[in-house]
Amino acid sequence: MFSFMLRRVLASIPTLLVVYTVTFAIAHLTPGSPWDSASANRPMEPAAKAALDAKYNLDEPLQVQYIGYLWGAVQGDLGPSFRDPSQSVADIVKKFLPTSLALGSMAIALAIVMGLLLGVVAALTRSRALDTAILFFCTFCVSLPTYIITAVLIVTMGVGLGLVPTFGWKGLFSTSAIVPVVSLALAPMAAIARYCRNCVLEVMHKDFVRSARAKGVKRSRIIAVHILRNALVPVVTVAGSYASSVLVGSFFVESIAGVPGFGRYFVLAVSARDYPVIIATTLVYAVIVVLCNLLVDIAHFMIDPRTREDVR
Amino acid sequence: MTMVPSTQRRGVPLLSASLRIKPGLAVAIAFLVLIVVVAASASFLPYDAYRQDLLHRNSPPSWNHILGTDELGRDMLARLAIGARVSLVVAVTSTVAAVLIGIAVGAIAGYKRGWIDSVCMRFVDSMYAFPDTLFAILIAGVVKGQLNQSSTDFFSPITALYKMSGGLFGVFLTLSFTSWLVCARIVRAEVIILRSAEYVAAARLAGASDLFVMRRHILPNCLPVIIVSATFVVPSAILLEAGLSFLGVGVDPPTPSWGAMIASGVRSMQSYPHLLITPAIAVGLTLLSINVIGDALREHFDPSFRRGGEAS
Repeated sequence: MFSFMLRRVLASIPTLLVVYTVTFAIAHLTPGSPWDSASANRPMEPAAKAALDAKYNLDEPLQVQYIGYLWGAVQGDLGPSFRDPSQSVADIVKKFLPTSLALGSMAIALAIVMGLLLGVVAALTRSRALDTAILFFCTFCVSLPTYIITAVLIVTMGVGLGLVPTFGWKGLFSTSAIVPVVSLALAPMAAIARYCRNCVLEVMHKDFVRSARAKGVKRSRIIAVHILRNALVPVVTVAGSYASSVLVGSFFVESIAGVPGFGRYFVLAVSARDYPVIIATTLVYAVIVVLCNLLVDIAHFMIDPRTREDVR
Repeated sequence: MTMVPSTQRRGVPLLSASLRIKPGLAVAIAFLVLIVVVAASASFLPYDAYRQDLLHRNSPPSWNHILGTDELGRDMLARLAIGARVSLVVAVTSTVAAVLIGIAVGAIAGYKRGWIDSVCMRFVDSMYAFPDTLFAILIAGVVKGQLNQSSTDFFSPITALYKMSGGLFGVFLTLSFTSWLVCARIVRAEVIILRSAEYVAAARLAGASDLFVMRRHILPNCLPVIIVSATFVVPSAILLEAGLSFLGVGVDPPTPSWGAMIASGVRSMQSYPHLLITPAIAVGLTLLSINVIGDALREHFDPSFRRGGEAS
């Protein structure tokens, strides 16, 4: 198990390098310098520009900047933010990421619980209408963009019914978290429910389920132990593939609902050409993706003994 | 997750046989046809999508303006119709381009195997570690900036095309660059199966060149999976286009776009909800219809894709 994890971690290093290289290239291909947007009406003195370039090493050749930033990043120094020189990028990550992470974990937890529930109900119900209704609801949730869900939830629940605040953030355990959590959770929930339903339908007719039933095992135990455990493997895979994008925060949800999170900061950084923030946020995202994949593998390892053969 | 290539798929049944038109599917097709007709006839509507009428701003639906007017008094129906044209044209053209890139990469990787395969697939896997929406935002920034700036002779036709299309061409490039990954993976998996088929071996023994084998034997047999991968790309292209325009890095104003309309609807959702509701319904129903049709196509071409319907 340990050597397997070590191998996976080592294998993710090239991935992170590719992500860094591509982001670095994109950030520096984007025309204009970070000092343009600060004073669009009043162009900055060339001398001041050159001084700023020199201060942030932007006057050096690209390959020197490439290595230099990478060397700093490995040591945990993500550089200063151009847009807001008073704080370093590491501070910004520390300030904005926890909100998004908390929001995202809540949403993913909700998605897994609701998705499993809907999937199992859809598969096991004898009512064709209920099955069709759940499937349709899931297609509906997968189709809708998150910003529509957020906006519609705010208009109905906030403006219409007055149940939740229409804008702002008062922490994870307040009514202000309801709309962002629900809007983030719906799409992964729908995907999980669909996978879960199909897996349960597949497993239901396997021999071991029939034997368990013949032995007289209780129906609830058959569902929980024999069917659900087998259905969990693909569910974990799907949840993992959604988890990374939900955890890092959605720009749309965060800006519409007024959550001071990581996703919103990224988009602001792109429009300000804040290179260190752009590269750092993308790297943080890639690290989260790698970690999620690792967690999925570990979960598979724990749920399904058959996968243990391959990993040794 | 990895695509599990199915081997039982040989012999796809007749399209008409397994597409027994279910009621939901019929409604979806009808709605999509309606959208296409509206988009095609947008120029013949009695109202101009660009004519401002500042005396009748934000007016609710009435006989004069069936869907009301926006914040500059422009007719919402006319703007929705032009927006539909923008969305569909961008989605279809960028899907075609993305599928072509995906076929090229996937076919070469799957046919040649060896180090070419490793390099290509390592790259594709690493690109999956990018946040898709955020990556599109980054690319859109580069494309937009480069096209606006470059005045060299080499780029001038592209720049002219970009300016003429009101930013559409930039969105097209962005979407093509970002959505070919799914397709490359699916096509590669299929080509690996097909290249070991007996008729391929026979053709090569008979002295057929790689190109000939590819064109005559492998690619035609890949058609079902190519269609399946396109069913994933089209809705995500519409979603991404709306997302980019929502953020203001998509289609340039005043060209109407569904994403931009939703963005301005969100800004005034508390006082004029109809500005948000109509474009939201249009985007939501279009994506829903495409997903319903996509599900039917996937079920027809490959029952193993039925497991939930999400790629990647």
